[in-house]
Amino acid sequence: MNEWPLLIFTLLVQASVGMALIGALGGYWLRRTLTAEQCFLALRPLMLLAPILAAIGLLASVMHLGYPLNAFHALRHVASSWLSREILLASLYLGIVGLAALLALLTRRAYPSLLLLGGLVGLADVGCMAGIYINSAVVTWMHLNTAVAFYGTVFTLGMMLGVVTLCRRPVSPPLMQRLLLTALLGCIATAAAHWLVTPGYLHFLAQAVQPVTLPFDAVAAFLHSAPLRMASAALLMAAIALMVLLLYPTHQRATVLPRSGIMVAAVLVLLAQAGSRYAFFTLH
Amino acid sequence: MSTFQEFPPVSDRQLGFFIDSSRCSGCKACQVACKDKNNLEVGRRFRRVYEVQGGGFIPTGNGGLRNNVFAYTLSISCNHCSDPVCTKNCPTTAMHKRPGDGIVRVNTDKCVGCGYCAWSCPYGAPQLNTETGQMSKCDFCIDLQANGDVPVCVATCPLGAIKFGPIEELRARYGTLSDVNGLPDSTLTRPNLVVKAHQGAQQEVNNDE
Repeated sequence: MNEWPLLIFTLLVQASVGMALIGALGGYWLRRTLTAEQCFLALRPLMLLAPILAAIGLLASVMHLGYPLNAFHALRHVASSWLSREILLASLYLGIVGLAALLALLTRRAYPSLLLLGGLVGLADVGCMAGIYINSAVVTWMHLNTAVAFYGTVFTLGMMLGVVTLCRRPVSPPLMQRLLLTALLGCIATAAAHWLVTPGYLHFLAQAVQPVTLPFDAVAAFLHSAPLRMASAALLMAAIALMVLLLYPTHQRATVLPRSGIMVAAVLVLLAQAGSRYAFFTLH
Repeated sequence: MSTFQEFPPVSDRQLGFFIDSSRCSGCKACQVACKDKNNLEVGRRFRRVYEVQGGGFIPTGNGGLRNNVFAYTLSISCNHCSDPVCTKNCPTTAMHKRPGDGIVRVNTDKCVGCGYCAWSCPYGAPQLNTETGQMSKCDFCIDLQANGDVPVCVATCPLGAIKFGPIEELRARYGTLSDVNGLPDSTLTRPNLVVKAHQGAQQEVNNDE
């Protein structure tokens, strides 16, 4: 596997989009109970981390290019190239979440609407990312499964990172529970979508004819990565189970969620997504 | 960055290759000549000779065996497709199809070296030049054609198994087959390629009929 820059880029940008979305949602919830200053303090780490992750991701993507000096030409083919569209939307996304962070720091107020706008542009960007791989000649990428995997990172890793940054003072325990529940639902929805799409994906791979002319054997790589893919799925399940355990005792009485538990769940999700993405990019 | 040299169209009609797979011995002289002419390092091959094999032994039910074993070689380069996915997916428009002769080339003044064309082409034609960090591919020996010469693979083949010319003429003379075992479905990119199939190359098609 030599696509580390793309692995880092896709994971970080998708995670950043998920953070922006849960940041927008959390921002609307926080505004009901906290002052503008408290709201700003609660959202500040998320509003800083989301653009930083996206910026690191975009920098990593430049490492993938063989001749980055021509990078400005990469926006010339928006009409037909998913890669051009993706670069355009990723830059726009970074601009919006960067602007949201800058405005927040200057005015000491949170801007959930800007985060929401950024999150929606980010979702479109993730769609373009999936379009790049679905419209290639790599059989293991040419399926709806790719979009499910990419959006899955948004709703698992992104939301979990968002919850990690938000679940601290002055956010109230009930709101922390609601945020963690949102991330849990994101993880469950992702796992369910993955299970729904997998039978069709495996059928698609079984039917696919692999030409001798391709310089890689994607199906062989897919079969070879089975242990890693299974481990990634098991890690996501473990994270879901942990989040259920964290939320269960607080069902009836409002207690503070153990932050260490949320961190462990986030690390499990991170490992699951990184493993799954490593398998995705392994072609040899 | 390698210098990109533009050439005027060498034909007013789409050019293509004819590969006589039934005649190809797999000597790889075309591949070696191409590497030599383009000064390609180990691993980079604008023309590639593949060996395709398949079939097996089937019991007749009367104590005998019937076989449909086949193995043949197939010389493939860029097919300068009529609907090239590489040009459609290229974000910079560096990968472009020329008007007139229809040759697909990489403009290295624009290429960013993202490699998306390599992931897009089902024939494996675009390949990374690790020295310049940009993509490279068969350009139909446009420099030779501009001087009235023939592509080096065509000139080299000792069996005369590779021919080139306007694809309409090649199809009128040799037929329209470009789907054989081992190659991708021609409807994906509409390659300007005509193949005279070796025995077994159309095995699956025949079995279906």
